[in-house]
Amino acid sequence: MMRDWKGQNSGSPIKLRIMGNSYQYTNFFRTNIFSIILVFISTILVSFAQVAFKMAWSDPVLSFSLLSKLLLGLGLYGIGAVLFLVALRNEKVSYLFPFLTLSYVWVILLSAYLFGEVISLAKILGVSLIFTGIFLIYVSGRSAI
Amino acid sequence: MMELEQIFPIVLVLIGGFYGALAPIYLKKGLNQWPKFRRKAFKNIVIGIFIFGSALLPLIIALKFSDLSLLYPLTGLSYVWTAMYSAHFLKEKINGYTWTGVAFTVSGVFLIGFMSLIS
Repeated sequence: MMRDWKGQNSGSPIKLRIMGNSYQYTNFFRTNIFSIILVFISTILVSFAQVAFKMAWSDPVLSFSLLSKLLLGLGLYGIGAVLFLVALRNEKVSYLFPFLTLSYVWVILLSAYLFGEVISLAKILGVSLIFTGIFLIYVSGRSAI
Repeated sequence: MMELEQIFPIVLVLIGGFYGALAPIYLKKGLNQWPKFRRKAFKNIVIGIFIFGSALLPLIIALKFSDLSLLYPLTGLSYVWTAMYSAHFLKEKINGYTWTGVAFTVSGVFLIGFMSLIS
C-alpha cells in the first residue's frame, strides 16, 4: 500500500510500457475512494435491511410475508457485510469504521419516506454532526499519515 | 431493587458493545494475514464473525428489560472502542482529525438516540 504526496492511499502503482513509452497508473480498486464507495453502498444495504426487519414485525407471526422480509433483510445485511470486508482489505479499521454511522442517516431518511416518521430538529442536528465527523475522518486520510 | 433493574440492561449493552467492537479487529487481522498465512487468517476471520454474531446476544437480552430507544444510543459507543482497539491491537496511527471525527459521529448518534427517547 502506498500513499501519494497528498497522503491518499493510492494502492500499488502499476507500470506499463507501451510502444517505448512508460506509463504509470494507480489501481483504482486499491484506493481509499474505492473503499469509501464500498462502505457507502454497504450502509445503504444495511439500512434497507433494517427497514425490511421493521416491516417484517408488523406481519402476522410465521406468515410467508414475514419470513420473506426477514430473509430479504438478512440477505441485504450479508451482502453489506461482505462489501465492508472487501473495503476493509485496503484500509485502516479506524478510518473506515466511523463511515458505518452513515446507516443512521439513511434509516432516518427511509423511515421518514416509508413510515412517515417526523424528521425533528434534533435528528437534523445529529445527522449534521455525523456528516461533520465523517468529513473530518476523510480529511484525516489525506493529511499526514 | 427498581434501580438495579434499570441499570442491568444498560450495563449489559455496554459490555456487549465493548466485546463486539473486537469483531472488526479480528476481521482486519485475518484480512491482513490472508494470502500468506491462510490458516491463521481463516481462524481470525471466523473468530471475528463469531464475535460479531454473539455480541448481539447481550443486546437482545437487554431489550427484554428495556426499550430500544434507551439502549440504541449506547451502541454508538462501539465506534469509540473500535478506534481504541485499532490503535492498540493493530498499531494503527490515529491522528487528531480521526479522533475529532469519531467524537463528532458518536455525539451525532447519541443525539439522534436520546432525542427519540424524549419524544
